[in-house]
Amino acid sequence: MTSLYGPVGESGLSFFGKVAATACHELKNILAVIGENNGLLEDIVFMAQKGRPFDPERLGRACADVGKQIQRADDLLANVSRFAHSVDCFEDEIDLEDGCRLVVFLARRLTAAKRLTVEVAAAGAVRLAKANPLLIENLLWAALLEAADRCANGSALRVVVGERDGCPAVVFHGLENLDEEFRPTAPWTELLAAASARWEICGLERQCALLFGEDEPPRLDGRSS
Amino acid sequence: MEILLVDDELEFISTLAERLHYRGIEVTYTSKPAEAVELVKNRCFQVAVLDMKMPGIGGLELKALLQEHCPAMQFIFLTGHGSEEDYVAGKSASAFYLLKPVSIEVLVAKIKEAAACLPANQAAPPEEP
Repeated sequence: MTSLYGPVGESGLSFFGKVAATACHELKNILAVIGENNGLLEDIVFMAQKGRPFDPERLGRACADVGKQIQRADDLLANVSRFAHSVDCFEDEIDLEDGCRLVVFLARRLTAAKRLTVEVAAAGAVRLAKANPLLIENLLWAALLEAADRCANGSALRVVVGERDGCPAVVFHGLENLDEEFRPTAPWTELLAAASARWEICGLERQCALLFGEDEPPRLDGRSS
Repeated sequence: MEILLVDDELEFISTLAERLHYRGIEVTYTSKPAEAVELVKNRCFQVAVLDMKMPGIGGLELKALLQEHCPAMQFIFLTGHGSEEDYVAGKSASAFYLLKPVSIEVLVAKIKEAAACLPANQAAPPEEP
């Protein structure tokens, strides 16, 4: 079977699917918690009808648990909805910090697999003047997962948005496995090229960086010159 | 009957454990797969109910780790995914497979069914509520 969309399009579809699947999984879990609390309330009513006194404090905890899950679902849906609207316009001005926060939220189940604590910080407002929102989110997603892969289990990954050498940059701090050669493969190289970005690895400072607006084409070994 | 429940959603398993208790089934639960492995080093459960996908480890992988210590233990997988891939993997691992959200009656029936698969010297019927 041949690709109809090219590596960037294929990557975008795959990214969209992954986000949808992760969100569905989390929603199922939320429903499961609400469902159990609903069942618990039914059990308590049933037992009360049989003459067993019920504990108001336990009812209160069940209500609080349901409220917490509703808030969790609301946060999830707000972010997934924002993500879904990324494809509404082909080019837009992009707030990089905002994009990072969205992607970190959407990927939190995946970063939780390594028990990572991911924090986003920004050194001032950094905007990409004209870019494709889905492409940039896809690139941030790929960069985040690549960085997460290089973190030790249970460690802290810090994502800092700022400028480096006059370019908008997203720097990932707290990485460990930087001795391994970064070998960018499809769709990495294509995503970087399409976004006019490049990926730098700095082992000494235990960090990787995504730099935007570079005229220099991305180096195939992913290392800075 | 000794049941082990492992799922990363703590609020889910704590409430489920409480509801199983009302039905005469005592459950030990944990949201940390590594803790489950520690638990079975000292004590074998008859049935383990495992989430299919937890951060850092899959249900099938955890099943293999638990079985190293308790080879006769029976397994029920719970999943929120419901993907064909999960279903095939769960079924092929000689275990029961249920989709979240699961009815408590269905889960109780599956626990009894799983316990009935135990060797005779390890089976213990649950108490009636």
